[in-house]
Amino acid sequence: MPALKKRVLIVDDNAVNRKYLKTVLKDYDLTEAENGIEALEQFNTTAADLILMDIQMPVMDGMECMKVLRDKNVSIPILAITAFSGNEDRDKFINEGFSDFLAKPLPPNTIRTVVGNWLSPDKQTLQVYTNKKPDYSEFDLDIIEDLKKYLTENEYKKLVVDFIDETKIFLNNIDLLTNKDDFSSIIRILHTIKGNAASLGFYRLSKLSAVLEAKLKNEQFQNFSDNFEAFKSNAYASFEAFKTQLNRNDD
Amino acid sequence: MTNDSYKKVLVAEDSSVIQNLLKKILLFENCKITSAKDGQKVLDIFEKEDFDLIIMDINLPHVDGLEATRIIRASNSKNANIPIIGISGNAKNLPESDFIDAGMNDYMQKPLNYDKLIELVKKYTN
Repeated sequence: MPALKKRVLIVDDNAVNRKYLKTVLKDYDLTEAENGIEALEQFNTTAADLILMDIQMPVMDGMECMKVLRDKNVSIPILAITAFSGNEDRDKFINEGFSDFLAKPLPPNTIRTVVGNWLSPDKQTLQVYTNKKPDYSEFDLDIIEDLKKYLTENEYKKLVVDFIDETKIFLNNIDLLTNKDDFSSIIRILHTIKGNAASLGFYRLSKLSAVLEAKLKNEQFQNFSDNFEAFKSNAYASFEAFKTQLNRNDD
Repeated sequence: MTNDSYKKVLVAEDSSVIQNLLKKILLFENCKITSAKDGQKVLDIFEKEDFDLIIMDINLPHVDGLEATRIIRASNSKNANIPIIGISGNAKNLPESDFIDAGMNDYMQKPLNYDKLIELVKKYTN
């Protein structure tokens, strides 16, 4: 157990639901509110590390409350709890600024896992929680400079070309593994891509691998093919960006 | 076979790109690198050859880096106490104690800081 307990704010108008969440999350420092307005007041008095937010509430609903918080640059994880479960709803909530989406009914272990993952230190450095879409810079120039202390220009280029070739093979392997639903192998490969990309200065690719890896670790398997296709096109865009930069330098 | 002028380093890393990178960088420290792509190969090679240092990725197929380290430490080999530096893609997810409890001497997180790597290699091979 960490020395300092993380604080979770539970926002739900239904007393039974609040009690259930409080029991499930008893290992955390808990505060609660009955609607959006109360949640804002509660949050102003006692800041939280994470908010669990019901959507349908009187006075001020969860969506509105979340937007008020995001407008104030509150960047902690805010997780929506709703009875909706369609993929369109999920995308809508995430696009509006929620960090994640929990559909009822909620088994205790799911709640603990998702909350625990969002509060893990790794997660906090990986995710950008603001309502703006994450916008990572393509390359980490510090890392590339560092590498060039040890490698000649040609060695560096050769290394990156090998990295791109190897990553393309990894991406094809993930395609094959997706057909077999072998998510644990996919997580391992994404982890490798994340580390390799970071070590070679492919910052954006590394961050996107981390996000996809985190999703799978949270057992968000639905939509994986779509997410992976998007990831792949981003990866290929990064490879192209590298080539463009090389050509520019060669001119 | 043994030549005292260079250090023998076993690099356990499943990506050949990172292996090549480490090879190039460790040339500066006059290291001769042997590569292994999974934890089981590390154990096989460790049994047959003497090394000065092992650099071990955590995220290895078959036998992971922590497990391979535990097996080496528990072995009867005369090299059971060889210095082992762990490399992790997400050290933040694992508490430091996991690396040390497994028996690693030190660890680094990706993205690798190459200066620190050289420093650690020096520290454990001199």
